[in-house]
Order: sequence, then structure tokens, then C-alpha cells
Amino acid sequence: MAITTLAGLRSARKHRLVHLQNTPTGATQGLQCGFKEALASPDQNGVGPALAVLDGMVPVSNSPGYLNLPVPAGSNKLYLSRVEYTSQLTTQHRFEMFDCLFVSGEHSTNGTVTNTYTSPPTSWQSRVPNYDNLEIWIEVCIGTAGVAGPDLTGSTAIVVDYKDADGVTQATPSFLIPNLDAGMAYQLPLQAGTKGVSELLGYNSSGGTSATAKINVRLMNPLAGQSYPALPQATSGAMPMDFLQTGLVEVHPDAALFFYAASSTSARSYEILLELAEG
Amino acid sequence: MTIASIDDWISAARQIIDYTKTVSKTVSGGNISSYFEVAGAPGAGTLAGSSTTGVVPVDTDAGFPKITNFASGAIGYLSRFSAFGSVSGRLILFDRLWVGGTYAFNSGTTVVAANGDATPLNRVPDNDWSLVEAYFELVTATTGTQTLSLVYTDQDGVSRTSPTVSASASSTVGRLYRVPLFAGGRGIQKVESVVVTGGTAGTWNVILVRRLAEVRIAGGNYGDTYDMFKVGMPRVYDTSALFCASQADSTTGGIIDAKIEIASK
Repeated sequence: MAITTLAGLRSARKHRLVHLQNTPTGATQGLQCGFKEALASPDQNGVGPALAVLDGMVPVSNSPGYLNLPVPAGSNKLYLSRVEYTSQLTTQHRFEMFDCLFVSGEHSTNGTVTNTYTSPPTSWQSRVPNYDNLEIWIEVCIGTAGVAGPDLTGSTAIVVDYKDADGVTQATPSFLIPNLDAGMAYQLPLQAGTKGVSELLGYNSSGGTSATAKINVRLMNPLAGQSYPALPQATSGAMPMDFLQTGLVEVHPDAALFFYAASSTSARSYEILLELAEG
Repeated sequence: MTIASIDDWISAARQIIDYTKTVSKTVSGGNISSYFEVAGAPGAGTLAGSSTTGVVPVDTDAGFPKITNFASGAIGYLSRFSAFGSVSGRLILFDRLWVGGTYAFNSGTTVVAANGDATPLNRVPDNDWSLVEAYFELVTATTGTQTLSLVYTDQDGVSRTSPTVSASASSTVGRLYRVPLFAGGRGIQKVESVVVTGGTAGTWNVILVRRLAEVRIAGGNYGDTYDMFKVGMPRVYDTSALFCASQADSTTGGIIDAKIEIASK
């Protein structure tokens, strides 16, 4: 049964999951490009597991690299009831948590690249109530994170083909991304006048010159986010979000939890504690 | 039904709406600027108004995020607002109630008689006209200083002429100039006409909006998440035309990212 009252939340079974990133993540820059992590293995170092799924895959909670979520009993559901985020970064920044619904990669950035997905999987659709607010992200996924200097070179323009919330085929406006280090990510704009994403269809890039830098494409369902203060509060402190701030958002048992943060150019270690209420 | 308790909120239908603008824009530092025409999710809208007699935008129009219809008889509320920005400033969430435009510069001329009766405001709770704010919204760049004023019907049904607004020649596209009310006034029911004088180029919209929430972005890559108590749970309709405006501290407007939770029951 669902949690519908405060008493129900209070008496619900609480699952506590901790993700520790004890290796400092790579350098970051700007709001839309930050270090990113699948909420699982502590050794991702801001890069994430290598992919070989050019046609895309639907990650689930027990896929390698993601946090293995508890299986709720019977018809119970999981709700995000609390988050505690701790970072050693001494400057203010923000973090945001998603359910990663679909990922494709690693796509080449060298020259003109066209990768139309063949029968892209759509099983993720059962994890969302509708397609109106899903986000398309791209991330640089090869390189030496944390080492100064860009891993992406040239003037790489990215276009992702997709279907909007009404099922109409669209393409994201060409988006010229900076020469980012590995682990950097950007949210792509949608075609003017359109809303939502119901399917990803393909990846295209042009203008890049790196023979090694690659791109992943992700479809994300946003779950929760918060900002983290600057020193002195940040030093080994925690930034808790209670259930009012998480919105007690429902987390699908198959959710592939994913985390982006945006900050300055510093590296850091961090820890995330998630509380999932079951009821 | 209404949401009258925390239990009601917990059991309510809740939806998270994304409003992200993925590129920065140049703004008039310290002043409010619309991001409606900027690329992002939802995709960019068209800034220029489509009718000088005004239209009432709804969520399904281009540029606005779509709101899932509420259950029959349910009432919607803004119950959470997460706002982030790449530069310091303030992010404001509005419901765009009415837009008229575009109105060209035209020295000393009443530009158009905008009949508000044709498109009455329909998302003002309890017809509380004090909730309605009017703005001049710059659509295309101006030359020379322009003076703008609005003839409107006030909360008591009386025709009033606003004090004038002086618009800088260097105003950036999307700049929003708040229309001051007639002395002693406290609300706007409808727009009657728009007067623009001075300058030799430039076009404007007039928009009527209802402010829902605002969050101070205290620094770059920062922001806050306001829960139901901080946002005060203002009423939201499932046709509301939501959009964010930024009041950046400097001329770089930055990238903005907002998550909007609407609870309905």
C-alpha cells in the first residue's frame, strides 16, 4: 500500500543506502557541466563505466555501476524521504539526482558522426508517469578526469534525434559544447516550441577533432536537487533534505539512480546517504 | 477537494515540472528579464505577442511546460520549488496570465486599444486583482529612451493610467519593466491601452502575470529548494502558463534550472 499520511511515513520501513566517493572527482566547470556519478561504485572517479551500447540500453538498479535498490514487498512502493549529501568541496555548488532511463555510448566525436539507433529499447517508459519533463544529457566519457586540459577538442556540435512528448520526431538544436574534461555533462535544449521526450532516436556530432574523446547520451528523469553551501559550513558537513524537500518522490524499484553536480573547477570527495521509505 | 494538511499533501497527486534554460543570455544587470525565448526544456518560446488585443496563454502553448491535468474537482498548488543558477541573482516563477503585443514605438501615439474583455483573466484566485502584476516586455531592441504607460482597469473597475516608465535605450531583449499602479491602486483587472513615446525603433509586449515563487541565487552554481511552507502553496491551475524570469546581479544572465512541484487533490 502507498504512503498517504505522515503517520504512514513515520511507521514505514526505512531503507538507508550510502554512496561514498572516496576518490576525488575530476575538475568541473559551470552549472550544466559537473562531475557525474552513477550512485553506486565508489571508484567511478567521475567517469562512469565504459559503455558499448551505441543503440542504447535501459539501465536498471542492478545494472553494473548503479545502486542496487531494495525490492519492496508486495504492492509497496519506494519513496525518497531523505537525502544527506556531504562534500569536501569548499565552494558552493549544487547537486541533482535522477533516474537514468536510457543511455547510449560511447559515441565518437571525431569528424562527422551519425548514429541512428536501431530499435532503441523503450522499457524505461514504465518508470515514468508521462514524458513531459524528461531531460536529455550528454557527457564526455573518455579521458583522464582531473587532469588539466580538455579531452574533447575541436568545435564539437551535438544533435540528438528524439520524439517529443506527443510522439513527433524532433532534433535538439545544434549545441556546441566546450572542450570538456571527461566526466563533464550538459543538458541539451529541446527543439523550440516542443515539450518532453518520449523516445531517443540517434546521436549526431560534427566538428570534433579528438580521436579518443567520446560522448554518452542519457535520458533522465529528475528526482531531487539541492544546493550545498560554501565554507565553513561545507567542511565535512552534511546538507540534509527532509521529505518536504525531496517531495517524497516515488522511486521506481528499477530506477538507475544517477547524480550530477555543478560547481567550480575544484575536485572533491563526497558521500550521499539516501533514505527510501517503503510503504 | 483541497490540500489542508500534510497528510493531504502526502496523498495528493504530485508532478515535477522541469524548466531549464541551457544557454545564458545578456541581461540588464540587476533588473528582471524573461527567459521565455531562450533554448532549453521546454524548447524556446516566441517572445513576440501574437495579438495586440491580447491572448491568454496556456500550458500547452509553445514555450511553456506542460502540466498534467488534475483529477476532476482537484485543486492544484505549488508545493516545492527548486531553483538554481550559474550566476548570482534571483529566479522568479510566474503564471503568464495575458500577453498583448507587439506594440511598436510610436512617438506620442496611443498604440492600440487592447480590449481586455475579449480575453479575460481566468487564473486569478478569488478574483483577487492585487495578485496581478503588469510588465512591459522588450521584444526587439529600442533606440533612444522610451516612455511607456498603461491604461488599465483597476481592482474596482475604474479606468486608470499608470505612472510612466522610462525604458533605457540599452535595454536588452526580454527586459521586463514593472508597470507602477495609479497612486492608491492595488490591482489590475484588464489592459485597456498602451502608450509608447520616444525612440525610433523597438517593440514591446505587455504581460499580466501572477507571481508564484522566487528564490535568491546567492552565488554562482547555487540556489535553493523551497518546500511547501517556504513557497506558501499558491494555487496553480492545470492550464497555468509557467515561466521563469531572472534578476541576475550582473549583465550575464547565466543558465537557469528550476524544478517545480505541483500537488493537486
